[in-house]
Amino acid sequence: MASSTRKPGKLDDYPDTIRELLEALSFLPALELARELQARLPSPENAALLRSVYLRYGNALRSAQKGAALIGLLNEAEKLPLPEGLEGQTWLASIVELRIATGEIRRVLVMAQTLTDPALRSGILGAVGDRIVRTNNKDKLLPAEHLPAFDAFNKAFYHYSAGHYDIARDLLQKIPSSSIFVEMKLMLRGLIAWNHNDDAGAVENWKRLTPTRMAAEMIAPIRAQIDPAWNKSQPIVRRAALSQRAMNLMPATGTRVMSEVRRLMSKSGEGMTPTLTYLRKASAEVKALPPAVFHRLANLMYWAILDRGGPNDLGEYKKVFPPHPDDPSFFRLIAMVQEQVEALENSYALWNEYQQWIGKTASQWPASQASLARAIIFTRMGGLVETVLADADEDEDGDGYDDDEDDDDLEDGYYYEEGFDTFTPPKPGDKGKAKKKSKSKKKAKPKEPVKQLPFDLRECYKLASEIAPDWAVPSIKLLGSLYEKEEYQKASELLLSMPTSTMSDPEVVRIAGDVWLKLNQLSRSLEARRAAVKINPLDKRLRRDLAVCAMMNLREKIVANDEPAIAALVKEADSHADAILKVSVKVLEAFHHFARKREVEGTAVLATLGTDPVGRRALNYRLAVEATRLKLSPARKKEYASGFDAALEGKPTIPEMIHLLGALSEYRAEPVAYRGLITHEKKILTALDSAIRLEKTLTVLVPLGRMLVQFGYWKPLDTLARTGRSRSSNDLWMRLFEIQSWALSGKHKNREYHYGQAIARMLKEIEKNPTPETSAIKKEIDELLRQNRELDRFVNNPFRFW
Amino acid sequence: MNDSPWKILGITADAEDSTVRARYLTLVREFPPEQHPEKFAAIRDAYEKVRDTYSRVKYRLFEQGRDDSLDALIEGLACQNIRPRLSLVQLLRELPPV
Repeated sequence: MASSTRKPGKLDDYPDTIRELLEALSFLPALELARELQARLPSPENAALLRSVYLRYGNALRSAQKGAALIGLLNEAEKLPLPEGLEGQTWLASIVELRIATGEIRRVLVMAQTLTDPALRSGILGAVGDRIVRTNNKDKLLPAEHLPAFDAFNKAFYHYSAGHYDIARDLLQKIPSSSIFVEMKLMLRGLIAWNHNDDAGAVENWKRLTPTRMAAEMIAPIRAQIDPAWNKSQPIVRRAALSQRAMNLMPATGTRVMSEVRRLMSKSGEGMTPTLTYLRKASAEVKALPPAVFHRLANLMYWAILDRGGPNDLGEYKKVFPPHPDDPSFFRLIAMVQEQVEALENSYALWNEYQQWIGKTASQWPASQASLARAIIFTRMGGLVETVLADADEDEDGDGYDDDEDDDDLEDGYYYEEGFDTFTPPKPGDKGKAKKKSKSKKKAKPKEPVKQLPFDLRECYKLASEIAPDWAVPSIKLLGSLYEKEEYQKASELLLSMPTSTMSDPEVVRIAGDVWLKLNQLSRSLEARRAAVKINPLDKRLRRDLAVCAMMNLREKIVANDEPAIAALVKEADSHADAILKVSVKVLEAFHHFARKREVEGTAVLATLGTDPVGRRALNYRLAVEATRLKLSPARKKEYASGFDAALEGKPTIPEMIHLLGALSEYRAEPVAYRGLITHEKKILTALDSAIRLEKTLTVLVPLGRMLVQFGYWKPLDTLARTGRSRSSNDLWMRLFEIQSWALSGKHKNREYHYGQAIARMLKEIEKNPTPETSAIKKEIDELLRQNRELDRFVNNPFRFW
Repeated sequence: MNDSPWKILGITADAEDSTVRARYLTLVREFPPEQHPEKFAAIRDAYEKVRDTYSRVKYRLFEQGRDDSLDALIEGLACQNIRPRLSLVQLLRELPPV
């Protein structure tokens, strides 16, 4: 400071000293020196220096809010001679602008009139507008002509804040473009656009603001959020300040709460309790969320309780959120939780409560949807009853323990040891060596006895059908249940009562075809199977079923000698039959001619079968069977019976046996077995046994093994597997057949578990050693798992229930 | 997926089956899977949820809101409705001193 008050010796040094004093914020000494310099050595440069000192000092006084000192300083400054031209105008504008801070608005407006430069004048007027808005002191400061625009702006802002956007827009229209509040108008128009998420519109308005003016500064924090390019153009320090101001303007309460919820939920293994406890504690903030967000969060927590909640979570949930609109008593939620923990009877009871609640509040659903909702729930309840009954079936001794969980299976002598690479059937005397498993019956958790449920399985489906007659699923479920329990007569009655629309369902027509076939109602069955093929003409299995049914009808017509029907059925059966079935169709056609004494035609049809040596024995079998069934002459019957016996006497090969088994399976599938089937089957299986033992090539045995699995011939499958493994103990196909021959051949306890374990081990080996051969086995196993969901569960999650 | 199927399809919850289907076909034509795979998948998914009365009831009973996520909620909160209507006093209070 001592140096700043020191007066320089020579006038030439004054300007530098003055600048140094200004740098040191010593305005008064600088002003004194500048005045002296101009007085002693007048020049345009020194006059400009003096003016700049006045301005610097004036700005400092304004910042320090020293109004009186500022007025005095400006009064002195105004006495200085006005420079010529733009320099003079700029100087005057600067003085006038400083005057605004003193509150002398009327004087400022008069002085502004003396400014000839329109831009400078407009800047001053705008600054006046800013001052008025900032101080809201219109009565004393603002001339009357500016009052309407000011009031319009204030009212517009009030209505904007209250959400009355249209009124705000209308009020802004009253502010003319010449008004000193025009920047405020642009600022508020941008804000309205921003609140409508119209960021482009907001930026468009705000781009037109003068950067140094108050309106631009007012919305700068918001613009920084939505206009990244503009934000990037700001200095880093300013960016940080804008960000802080934005946070002050828009406290992100909701986001903070959500982020905390997300953090708590991302912690694994802690369930929902910490999250819901936090939400309870922060319930004031949670309830302040926008309504749509609040309801979404409530819904999200509702479902999260199902996925990862615990018993106490509902209580916490209720303290924060209102009852779920579709489940105010949480019947649905708890029912689903109970399903997950396999407390199916509890779940059933809760679903029943839930469907009753829907019934009582049906008006909350659009027309007829409440009935359908109840029907859907009844159907779900039916599914639960099915599962409960299936579990009860497993608890055959009624001791309340799931028999699958005891270790009685060891009595069967079938067990697995750790590291055992394959399934090992028992050998005599092995029983004592069996490794005891750690599970014991005493430790097993007893199951609750099956409760008496209000509705049984069929009642659930019936109620569902009655409530929502247009919805086919319950009827189809009921039909499936009757079919599974082999109650064909009831299934047929249900089918006949079904509406036409339901009868076009692929599953219904498929079952209908089977049901009527089982009841020997061949023409009905044929109609159903035709319908099934019409729905899905590319399904080979449906087409084969249709061909079989057509052949059965054909036999009836041959006996009845209905020529036109016979011709049509031969054509239909032939068009849908696979290669093996086509042989049977031709045999029937030929025998039809023989029965009508048309020897030449019959012989000609048989001749079309060719002399395929592999299919010869199967053909002999068919000829022997059909000659009897179609009541041909005794001579012919004897001829074909001898032909069949002779065919079996030679040593049939495995491919020949495959054809024979194919023919046998066709006859076995018929609802009424022909007389002599069992004798024929025995003969064929004896021949099969010797064929298997004689076969040296394993690859030849594989298709036979798959066929035996398909048709359920477990004993020959066992022979095949043992023979195969005696040739190659590690052959995966033979191991698979060995497992299947045990697992599928009877009702073993723990069957699915052991079956699953063995399959899982095979899959691991296949994974380790992928080859074209193992990939074929993998495909077979995948198909097996697809068809058997229970097995799939044990293969892919063996410890779920253990 | 966070928006309701109705919002995705741009129809109201009481729309008829035929309206739903017509709207679906329009959108599918507008957003073919080759050019808009994600949008197409969302439209398709939404349509499956509300295509007929059964789907709608099943959706309401067992699915509605179940595929929502906190991330989506936070994102939505950040870019949608968390824009408060500001007062003049608030804006002036945050101004730096002159």
